[in-house]
Amino acid sequence: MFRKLPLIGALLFALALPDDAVAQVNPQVLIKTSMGEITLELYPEKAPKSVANFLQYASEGFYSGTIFHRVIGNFMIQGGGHTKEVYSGGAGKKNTRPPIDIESKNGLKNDAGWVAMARTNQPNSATSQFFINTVDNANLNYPSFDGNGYTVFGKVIDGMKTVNAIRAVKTGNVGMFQDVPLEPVTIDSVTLVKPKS
Amino acid sequence: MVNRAPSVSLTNDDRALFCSDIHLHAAEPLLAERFLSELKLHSASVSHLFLLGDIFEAWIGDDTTDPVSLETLRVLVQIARSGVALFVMRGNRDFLIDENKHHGVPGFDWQNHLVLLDDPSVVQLWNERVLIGHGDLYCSDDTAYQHFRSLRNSVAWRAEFMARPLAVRDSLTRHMREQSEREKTVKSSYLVDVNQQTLEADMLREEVRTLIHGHTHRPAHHQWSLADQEMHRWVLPDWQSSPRRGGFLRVSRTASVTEYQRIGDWDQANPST
Repeated sequence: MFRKLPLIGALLFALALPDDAVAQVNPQVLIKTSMGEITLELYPEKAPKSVANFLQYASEGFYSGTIFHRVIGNFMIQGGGHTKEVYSGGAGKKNTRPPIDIESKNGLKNDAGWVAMARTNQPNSATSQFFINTVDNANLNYPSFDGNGYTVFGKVIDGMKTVNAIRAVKTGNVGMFQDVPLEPVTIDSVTLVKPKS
Repeated sequence: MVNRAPSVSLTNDDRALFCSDIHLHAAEPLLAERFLSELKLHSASVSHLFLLGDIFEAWIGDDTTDPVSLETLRVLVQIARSGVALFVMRGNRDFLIDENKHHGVPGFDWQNHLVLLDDPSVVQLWNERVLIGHGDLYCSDDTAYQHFRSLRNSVAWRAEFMARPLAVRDSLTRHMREQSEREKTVKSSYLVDVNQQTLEADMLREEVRTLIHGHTHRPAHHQWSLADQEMHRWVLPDWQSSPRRGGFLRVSRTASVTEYQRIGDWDQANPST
């Protein structure tokens, strides 16, 4: 399966995992936020480009200092693209690498606790922002309302308590954005960890 | 095929409100509360109200005892009594509205309070004829659904359904809804959207430039050119609580210009960047 992945993705897995485990174990990442930790399992076999893309940003430290800028409790929590500059009226949008192709037709569902790539209205436009579904969002699954849907590439395997704490924060209009936590929820780091199972 | 009577015509200072696809049902009382509250608010400033189908998630008969349905009927009667001309079209979920009377089953008397429109119909909005419909008729690529649509419109199917007790109709309807939901998850996107050629054929035949419909849950204002004319298609939003969505299309005329105004949450909530 790693032949399909860009080199950097494969390299990251190889560094983190014992040789004999590479073929069997999905990569896991630890997201440290200002409200607690979240561990994700990623599925490169289902969404190779999205997983490699996410791991690339993670390995560059891109996510450190970004925020969950869009929190809709009964929908999803979205982050990984803006900084706290949002709170001083700016866009606070970090420069990203070019967008990646959509992989929404992979059978994974936008159910509660599953992680997917955010994007613009164009299907092949995901960059760094991701979201964690807080409820079963069947309307985001391929083909969805726009014929494309949203690419699911991972799942929360630990830390739903943190996700639930974030989804419950008070939100409102902040600067040019809506549904923003009134107190910033920051992503302090996203790191590849040794799989627990 | 298209209903041209009763003639509905807006003139002078008239204002119209359109909505559809609220899918009201007892399991979502908060959605019903929100919709009815917004309906009362916005209908207070219009002369005509058009509900273009799927007001209810299901309609098992005019003898329904469902509390959300009964409360909705109470509010509709209240709005009609306040002087708003109220027009209701049946959708693919509530297609049995006003069916009881044909089968000798007592129930709410729709015709006593409002006008039921055939789907589709043409209405006169000031100087322009406008085609209005629920919208499922234009999803002609979905041949399996269109087959069911013609079956359920047959007198025989309706007679057989309405001959059953309310509880049995309730159970049968639930079964049909579950089947529909299952099918929706596997049907291709294009099947559950309109077929452009089908709706253009209707628009050309009826000599209209504007179509207003719901059903697809893909709210939008489409504009395109056809036969050297600028065509418009307004797709009304569906209503849902989470993420919040739903709204109205308000049509009014100022200084000889017809204005179409979106009210409420029209955008499909999505994790956009």
